[in-house]
Amino acid sequence: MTNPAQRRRATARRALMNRRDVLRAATGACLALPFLPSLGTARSAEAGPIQRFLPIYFPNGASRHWWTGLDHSGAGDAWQLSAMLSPLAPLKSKTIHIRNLGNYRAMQDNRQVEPSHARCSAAYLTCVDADAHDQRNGVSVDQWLVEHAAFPTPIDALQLGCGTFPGFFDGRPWHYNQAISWRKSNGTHPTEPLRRVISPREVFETLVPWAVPRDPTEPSDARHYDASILDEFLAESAALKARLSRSDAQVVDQFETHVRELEILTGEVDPGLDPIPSCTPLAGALPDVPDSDQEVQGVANRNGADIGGIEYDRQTHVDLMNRLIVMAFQCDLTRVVSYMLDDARSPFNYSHVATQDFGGTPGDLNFHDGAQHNGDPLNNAYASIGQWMVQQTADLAMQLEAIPEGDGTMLDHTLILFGSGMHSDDHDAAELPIVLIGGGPTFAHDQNVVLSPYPDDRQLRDLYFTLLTRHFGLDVDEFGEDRDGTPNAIIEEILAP
Amino acid sequence: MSPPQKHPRPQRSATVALATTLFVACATDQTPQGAGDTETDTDLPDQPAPSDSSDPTPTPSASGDIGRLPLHRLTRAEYEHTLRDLLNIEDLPPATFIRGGTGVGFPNEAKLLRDVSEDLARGYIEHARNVTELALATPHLRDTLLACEPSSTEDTSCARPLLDTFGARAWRRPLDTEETTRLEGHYLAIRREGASHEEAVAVLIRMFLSSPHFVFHIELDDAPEDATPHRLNPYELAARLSYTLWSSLPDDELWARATDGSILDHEVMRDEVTRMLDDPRGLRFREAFLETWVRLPLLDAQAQLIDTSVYPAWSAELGHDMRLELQAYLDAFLETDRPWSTFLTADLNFVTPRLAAHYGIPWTSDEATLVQVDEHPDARIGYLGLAGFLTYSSRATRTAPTFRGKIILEALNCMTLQIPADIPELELEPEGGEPAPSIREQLERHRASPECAGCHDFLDPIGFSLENFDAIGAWRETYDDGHVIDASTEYLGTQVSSLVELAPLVAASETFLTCPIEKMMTYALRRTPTSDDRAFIREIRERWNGGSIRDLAEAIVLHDAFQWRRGETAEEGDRQ
Repeated sequence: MTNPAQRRRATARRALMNRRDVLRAATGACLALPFLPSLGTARSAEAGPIQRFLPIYFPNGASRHWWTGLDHSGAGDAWQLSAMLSPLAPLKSKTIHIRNLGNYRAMQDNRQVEPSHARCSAAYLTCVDADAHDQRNGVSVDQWLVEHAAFPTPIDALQLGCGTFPGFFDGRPWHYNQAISWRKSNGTHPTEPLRRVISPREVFETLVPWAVPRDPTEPSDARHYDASILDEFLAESAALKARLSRSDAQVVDQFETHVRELEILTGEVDPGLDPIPSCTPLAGALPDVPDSDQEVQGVANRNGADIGGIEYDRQTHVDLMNRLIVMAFQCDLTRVVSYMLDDARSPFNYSHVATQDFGGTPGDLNFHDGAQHNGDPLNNAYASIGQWMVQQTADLAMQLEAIPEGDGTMLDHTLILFGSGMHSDDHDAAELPIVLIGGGPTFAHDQNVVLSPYPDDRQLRDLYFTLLTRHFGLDVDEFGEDRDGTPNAIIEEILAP
Repeated sequence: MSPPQKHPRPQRSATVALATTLFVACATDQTPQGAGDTETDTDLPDQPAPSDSSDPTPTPSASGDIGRLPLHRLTRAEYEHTLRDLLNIEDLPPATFIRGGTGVGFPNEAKLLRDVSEDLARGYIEHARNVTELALATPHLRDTLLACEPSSTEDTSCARPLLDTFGARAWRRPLDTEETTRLEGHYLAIRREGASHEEAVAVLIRMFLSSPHFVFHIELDDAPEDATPHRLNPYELAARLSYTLWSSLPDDELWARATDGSILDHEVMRDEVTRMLDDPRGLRFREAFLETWVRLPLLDAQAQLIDTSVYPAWSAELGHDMRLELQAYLDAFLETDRPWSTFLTADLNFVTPRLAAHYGIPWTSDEATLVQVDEHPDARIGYLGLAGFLTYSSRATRTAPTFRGKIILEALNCMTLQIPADIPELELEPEGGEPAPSIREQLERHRASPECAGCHDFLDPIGFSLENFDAIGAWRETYDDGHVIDASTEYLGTQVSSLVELAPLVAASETFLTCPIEKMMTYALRRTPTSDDRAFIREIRERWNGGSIRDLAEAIVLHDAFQWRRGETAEEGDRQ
């Protein structure tokens, strides 16, 4: 069955398809939008302040010594950002660094998870070990929020990423490494992974229909026979399911559910969902960037060299994604974005990053093979790539901070969860690098929170439990799993008194 | 509000480790020989040879469970080949929306192909539309698809060939009456709305290609939740055979064998196996089965990682030639009756000028293509001596003896190496370049620890004996720091000091001769062999004895587990 959220998403795509070709025809290869006047954020009449959630993930852990050397809690002047975290300096007053959060207890009773990359990344936002359940994962915290908060936005959530060069999958399906968001499913598995989109063009085209006023004279396209294709599909599906075992019918049913939602088959635009007229859309053109086709064909080059005649630059890629996220928020097209700065176990060569001198040996800018797996775990390349990840997050946060919203800024209404499901070169799932930025008065900002060290540490599922209940005000019985069945508990240290 | 989705704890898998599978608990001192036949299957009767009778028997001759193939979607390769062969168009857009594979094992395993996520569903529908447009823009194909020009909007005769031929072939079975009537109804309705014959045909093609009958492998049981085995119908059997050997739908001849039912005859099936492997499409069996099994795809990933500051001789072109040689080597075992038992010891090399130079073979030919050479490079023997293998079993800046051993034991010998949960990846495969301490010294230190020795006592000797080949497979006598390489080691009690001494030992092990049977069964049945498959594996092992890949393929597709199916038990349904 299509729930209201799915209905909205389907409708959003219907509208998209009706305008996508028009846009293509009008602008050719270079997509540009008129710069509309900013009228502030839409739907501000809604009761209560807007709250958004933006988990930002990076793979391969963080250089354990250079991430932060602080082992004592402190607030204000009593804590300082490490060199690696220094890009967050302008936002220190809205930042919380949390030490001694693990996720291993969702998987096993000690910190050394094996195989580490795939499992840790699949469990990062779900706190459920897919491996322990025959590759069935739980619902991720962002999708849990989408399902229960029922935000009045046209797009439920976006899943974005910048990983162009897949690493080894540890013998697991692709989505362990390439999806951190998982939502409920009616297929043979209780959840399904939501593929992160790495093509800024694809994201742009998803957002555009909501940022451009609809032209009422726009001709309906010649796809009205598509309705008969949907009819035929449903007839075949029904007849087939009647002849299958229960589990086989579920496989067909999952296919059917998604086909029912497809705008390309259902045609008509819901008149109740006009584009939002009042937002500041992305100005200027989008240059060509690699899309997912190129990624899966394996032509994306780890060195960031030109790909099939297209100049590729990871920095440009991330800059574009960051702008698109800001646009989506400004237009209130969605309030939940999960963002993988790179895929798990990425062997991408960050040759565009200048290696800083942190005090280690130089190291190699191949993230997984050269930096994380270096003879010197404190090598400068590993720390420099990590610092670059912090910098991208800080850049995005600064853009949100610059936009007034309500009695504060957009950042005050957006909680950024920045971190990794892996500790460091040791591949552990304890002592994860986790930082909270923004989110407003719920939080006791400008703080270094040091929880009890391993093995008396706290788990990510408690953090998510705390965010869902205390920040988003939802009624949550339990989030994620714990090997010993330990119930969730609030992490009081991060909350404002 | 409801809590997050909870899952039951996993049930213990019904799949039992095969007698032929070495299950190395890493803290034990089990050996490959000692690990066999530890299961309690010894009093199971030996399975009779597959019947040659062409009469479908009411029960399978095999004892025990024939296993169940659940419904699953086509792999990306199958989907693309199916469209290509159906439409007879070489250049179709790639179906990049289909992902799959785990980097380990066969991507055609049914349990990996039972998810249809949102972007996949969208991809199927959009791809069907794009391919339909392309098909109708291709002159020869357009004429075939349109068949004729109908006399009126009520004339369905020109749509019939599409239903009877194109649709049936796309769905790998004839349409039933209800389907034919319904599709004709769609055609008529669209025509009556004023659409041209071509527009209406386009809609029908899209219906066929968007259908669950196209994107899934579908075999039906009369009673889907009854575990009593029944034989596949001829169309289902033909499709199983063509997807096994060609990763695609049956061609005209195989379709004819299904239509007249003769494919149920074992002699006809045998002839088809021979014909299909002789066909150029037989190379897809090499790609989908052999290449995946020996993990050749690792070469593509490794080719992008190799550090040319450490290996200046490396180039993308050299990597390309290595791939060609690996494929030619595999083809030599697929195209002829060359026995598998010689896979690790054959004197068989194929070179291009670039590869000859890499091997140090004097080679003056101007021929840029691959040529088989009789002059064998020194100290090389069999598959493990090929530069391509030695490259894809290495790391970017160094050799990885443990990894080389792991591929040889896990892939070629079907051993299951269980890494203890408390050994992090970092320690298992030390990084940091060869010298000081050498990789060998690091690993020997590693093996001194008892919990590591269990695995590394098997893994490392294999890797050490290959240390004279660097990370791009070039011969070397010393490490970069001048240390002389010591390739001598002990493998299961025998002193060896080179690949030439090691390879015959590995090739003589029982696991090496049983593994191909287990692997090909996994591939052909799209599931892990169960304890009930063991009797067959034992029986075929005796008869096959490291013979040809073709003989093995024939034996497996004639086996009951391939020719029969059954419904889903309640327990299997619950596990979903």
